[in-house]
Amino acid sequence: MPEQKPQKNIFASNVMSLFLPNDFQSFRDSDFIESLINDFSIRVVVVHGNWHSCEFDHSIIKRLSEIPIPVVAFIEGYCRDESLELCLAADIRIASADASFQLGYVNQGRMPKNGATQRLARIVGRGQAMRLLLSGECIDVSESIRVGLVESIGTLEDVSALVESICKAAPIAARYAKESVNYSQELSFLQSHRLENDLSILLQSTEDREKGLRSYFNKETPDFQSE
Amino acid sequence: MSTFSCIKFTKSEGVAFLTLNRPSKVNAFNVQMRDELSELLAVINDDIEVQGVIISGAGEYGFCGGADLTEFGTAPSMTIARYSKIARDIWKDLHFILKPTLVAIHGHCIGTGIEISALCDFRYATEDTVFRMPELHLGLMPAAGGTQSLTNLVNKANTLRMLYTGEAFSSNQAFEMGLIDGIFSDRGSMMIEVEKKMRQIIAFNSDVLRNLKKSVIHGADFPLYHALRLEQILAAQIDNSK
Repeated sequence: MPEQKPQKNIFASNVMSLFLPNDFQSFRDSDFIESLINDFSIRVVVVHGNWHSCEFDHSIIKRLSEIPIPVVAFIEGYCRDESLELCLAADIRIASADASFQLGYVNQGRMPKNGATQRLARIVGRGQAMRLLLSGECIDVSESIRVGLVESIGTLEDVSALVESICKAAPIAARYAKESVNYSQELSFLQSHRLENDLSILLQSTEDREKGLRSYFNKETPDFQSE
Repeated sequence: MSTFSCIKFTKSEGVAFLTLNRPSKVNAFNVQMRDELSELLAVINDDIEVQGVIISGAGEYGFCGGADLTEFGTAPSMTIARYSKIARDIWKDLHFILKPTLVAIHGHCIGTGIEISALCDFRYATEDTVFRMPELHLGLMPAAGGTQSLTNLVNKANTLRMLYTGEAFSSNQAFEMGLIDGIFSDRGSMMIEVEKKMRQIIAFNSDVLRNLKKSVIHGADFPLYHALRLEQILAAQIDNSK
């Protein structure tokens, strides 16, 4: 059963906390992504909560993957099928010590339709993706780290510390870096290298870049403003 | 070769040694270094005597402390900066060079230092090496191929984590992630061992090595069907030349 415990205030105000499944109502709004793209006050999105109790439709996972700013997923407990596909759309996955992962589609005569046959292979490689997809095997958190499905084990406090350090990055630079990394697997080296170059030149038009360099030479901590 | 001031270039029995040589600046990567590297990579590519390349950094502080930020913003305009980077794209040259490349890393390996390493075929580091990608925390972003080459080595999530946080990590962490292929206790033994490794590699038929790397590098950019055709054609070239 979905728990209703309020979890909103654990992160700073420049972090958007999406607590599953409750906060996914707002996520269903068609203008959610557009408003997030234009909201430069938000620097990181954290998805956490009850993974197994989320009711999915295709648009939720698609929308999560379209977020242009850093997305961290914190996975607790049993994460299966659509829930697993949802966390594949995040940039970084942190799991609690009791987390486990399973793709049970094939055992039920179904096949995934929300990215498991695409994103999983891009994250853990084709061999491990095939193993998880075809065997339906449930793996624990240490195995999920070994195969590269999850980046580290931690608590919500660890996630909070990670997020805090991400918030110190220049927000526009973080967006462009994410865009460039995302395209690196879809384009040839020459094309994605040109994209990286172009984005880095475009970044030269930002105030934050000036500020970052100035702060570096003055040995100060830059206060980036998404300008 | 004496005209080069930021890169030391020596050749010894088939191996070219490129040493980033601004030790007082932790070999910070500047325009001069880029231009010299651009020329030298072209020379190495054409020189039939050179069969393999080893890149390292001079001085005790480290392999490379990153881009020389004092030169940032000195281009006359963004348009000119863009064209000049495209014209002298040493990252592309390093990626596509068809001779085996190996990098030996020590001390600080920051930003551009990691990106140079990620474009080489083999990466080794001393155990005290400190790695870091600080660009986003300086209002910058990687622009030496880091957003492409790193995802091939350490996957997208690890790449983004190292970029987003800008936090330092050790040789052991780099090894676990797959960023480097091996760790040495000190620089002296590393330089001896990496040269041995390179000599083992270049002892193989140089045409085979060339076509092998061509198939791996170019094949990665093709859909599988075409990549397999490329492999067959390159293998047939070798068979026919016997």
